[in-house]
Amino acid sequence: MTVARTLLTLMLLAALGACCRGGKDEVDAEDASRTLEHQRTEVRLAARELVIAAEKHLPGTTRNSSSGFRGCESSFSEQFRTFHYLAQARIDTGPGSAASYLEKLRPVLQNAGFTVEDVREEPNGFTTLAARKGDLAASFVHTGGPFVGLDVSGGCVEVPEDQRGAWLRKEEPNPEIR
Amino acid sequence: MLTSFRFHRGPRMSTIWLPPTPRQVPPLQVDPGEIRAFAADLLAAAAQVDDLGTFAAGDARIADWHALAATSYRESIGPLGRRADALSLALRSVSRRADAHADAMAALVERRTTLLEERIHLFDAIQVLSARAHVATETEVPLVRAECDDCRRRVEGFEHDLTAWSGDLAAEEIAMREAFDRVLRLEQVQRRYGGVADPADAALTAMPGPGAGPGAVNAWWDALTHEHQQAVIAAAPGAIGNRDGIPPWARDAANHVALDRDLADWEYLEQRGLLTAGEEEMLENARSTRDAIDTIESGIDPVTREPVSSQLYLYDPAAFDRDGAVAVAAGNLDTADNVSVVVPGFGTEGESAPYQAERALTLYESSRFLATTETNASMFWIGYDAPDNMPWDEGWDSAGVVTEDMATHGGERLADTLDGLRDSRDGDPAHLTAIGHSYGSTTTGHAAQDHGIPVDDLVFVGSPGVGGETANAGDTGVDTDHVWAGANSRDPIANLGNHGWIHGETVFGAGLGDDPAEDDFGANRFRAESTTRADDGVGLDAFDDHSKYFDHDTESLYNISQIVNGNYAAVEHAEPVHDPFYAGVQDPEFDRGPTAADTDGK
Repeated sequence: MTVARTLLTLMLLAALGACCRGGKDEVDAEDASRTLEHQRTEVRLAARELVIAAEKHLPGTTRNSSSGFRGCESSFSEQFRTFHYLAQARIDTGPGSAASYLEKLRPVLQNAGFTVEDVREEPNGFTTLAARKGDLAASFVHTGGPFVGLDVSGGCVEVPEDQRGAWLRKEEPNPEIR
Repeated sequence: MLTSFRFHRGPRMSTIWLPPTPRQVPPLQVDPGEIRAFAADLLAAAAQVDDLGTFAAGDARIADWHALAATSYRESIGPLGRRADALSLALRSVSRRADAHADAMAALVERRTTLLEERIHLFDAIQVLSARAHVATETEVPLVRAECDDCRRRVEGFEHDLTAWSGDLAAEEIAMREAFDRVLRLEQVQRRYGGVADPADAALTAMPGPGAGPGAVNAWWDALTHEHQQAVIAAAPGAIGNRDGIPPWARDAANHVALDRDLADWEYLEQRGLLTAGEEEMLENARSTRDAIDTIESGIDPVTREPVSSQLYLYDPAAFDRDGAVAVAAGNLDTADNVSVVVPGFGTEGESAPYQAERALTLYESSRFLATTETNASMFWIGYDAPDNMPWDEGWDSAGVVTEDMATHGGERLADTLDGLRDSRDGDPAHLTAIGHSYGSTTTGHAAQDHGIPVDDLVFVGSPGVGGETANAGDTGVDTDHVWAGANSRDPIANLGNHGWIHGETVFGAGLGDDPAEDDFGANRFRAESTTRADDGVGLDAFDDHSKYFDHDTESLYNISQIVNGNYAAVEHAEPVHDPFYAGVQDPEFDRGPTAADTDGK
């Protein structure tokens, strides 16, 4: 039974290898690349706009920020099938800021064209103000400290198998968004 | 700008002296990270020059060359070697000073931020006092005066701190400049360091031999002074970077020296078209290691919102016939409350490091997100020769993929690694979890069964079998309440393990042992389905389910993270696989609808 199953799996592995080297890929490389590069621009612009507006509304100062492509869904073997662009920032709240940070940030998201959800209480004690604009998701997070986190990301985009390694290693030339 | 002045109010002409406006805080533009990178470059250069000194004193002397020219040659390379040793010591001293400079500048930046905030507070307070002074009645004057006095004392304190800060900044810059000035010219270096014994030499003489265990190595390291430890890191990174028992911070420092040196050496050769095929493979491993570190450090901690730190725990680009060995942690292995080690399997080699780094990062993010008051470190460990290729590409890698040979050898290395992690924190033990994925679970099973491993929890995911000698959870030597199994019902690799009474590795000499998700095995099975799982377990899509165990928002990552955090009550249990004699293998998870977990709040 075990040997039969092993053989079946090896046959499937062989078929998988043939498939993946044989160019049966339905994902268009140029489309995927264009979509992800466009997403990078959209996410960075949105994140920058939100950070600047949040600094003004809280008031606060951006302490650090980071951005780049991240893998979404894994695929056999040792690679990601889909990728998206993620930008993150920490905005330290300045003197005089009240603790109701997230409600202050609702108009920031609305002014940037996002549809805003209600403030969400996470099981871990965080509070999150999430919003969407098309494929973009943005959220301000308050973890309890004197700062607010910002996450902005695009939807997951499938890339052709022969380009998955390159997307995994793609270096963001300018990870700061502020 | 506000100035101190007095108010004359009413017939009694009361005077209120406002506090002086605090001075501006001078600008300071500095990036301590850049300074640290510079210090690391200097240390890598010191290691390169040290290698030259060692070469000049050793292999370059060509012992079996006996001629007149040989004597002349040796006389000429002697001074070269001594100069190299002196230069290495000089570079190390400047590197140490630059590192200290980075720390000092980081502290000065923090102090400046505090001063800026205090100045804003004081400025606001003085404005408020000024407004109140304008309208104060005679009865309010004493109170306003008292508050002005209090504020004045705070301004004086601020001015004192600002003066101290400016002085410390100037002193620090002078100290750094002097460190450079002392070794600007070769004759200065020779005068200062010529003939000086390298403190690393004495330390390395006492280092335990290759057969010594992690405990003995750790005892040796702890007995060294800080100066000797730093000298060993710079002079002999290869001696300690991958030695179990050396604490993670020191391994990280040594391996960074080695990595920077290797990249500098091989990229120099590459630019000139002089790389050999072997060096090309090792350069790829070095670059993958650097990419893995960058991947982890590009992450943002979900609780502090600070960049995630990394530690390079293992770096050997030449290991396993240049497949390479590398382990990088997200988080701090020296201090984290919870430490996890992920052992990957099929398809893994040094160049897999960036992908494995993403897995370590997602596990770090998830475990932090789910227990915000705990600190975590998650490390991927490519420390054994894993099956790394498809058989139709290069043949089975050492013919090992469907037998246990590679797992047996890897298990020994993994056991040493886990012992080393334990021994390096003997006074402050972390909650330690070993996680074996795919063939890595076979390796982890061998580590546990063959050698015993000092873990609190043992997790197998996507396991094709945990080794022929491990018939049940108790055989791992770990408390069976803390042996866990995750198996996606569609994952064909997880379906390879032995079920029922037939054991392939003993009956046919093939197979990788028992399925840890089966009821007979006795592990705690947790939910590990994916919302994007394949329709069934036989199509090609099902193979993707073998790789999703560490993806965000999966049941699997959620449950692994809860185990890593020791939050057992939150683990979602699943019914085990069973294999009745009258029917085929039954998996109750097959018909259960998968759920979407939240592992990152996004």
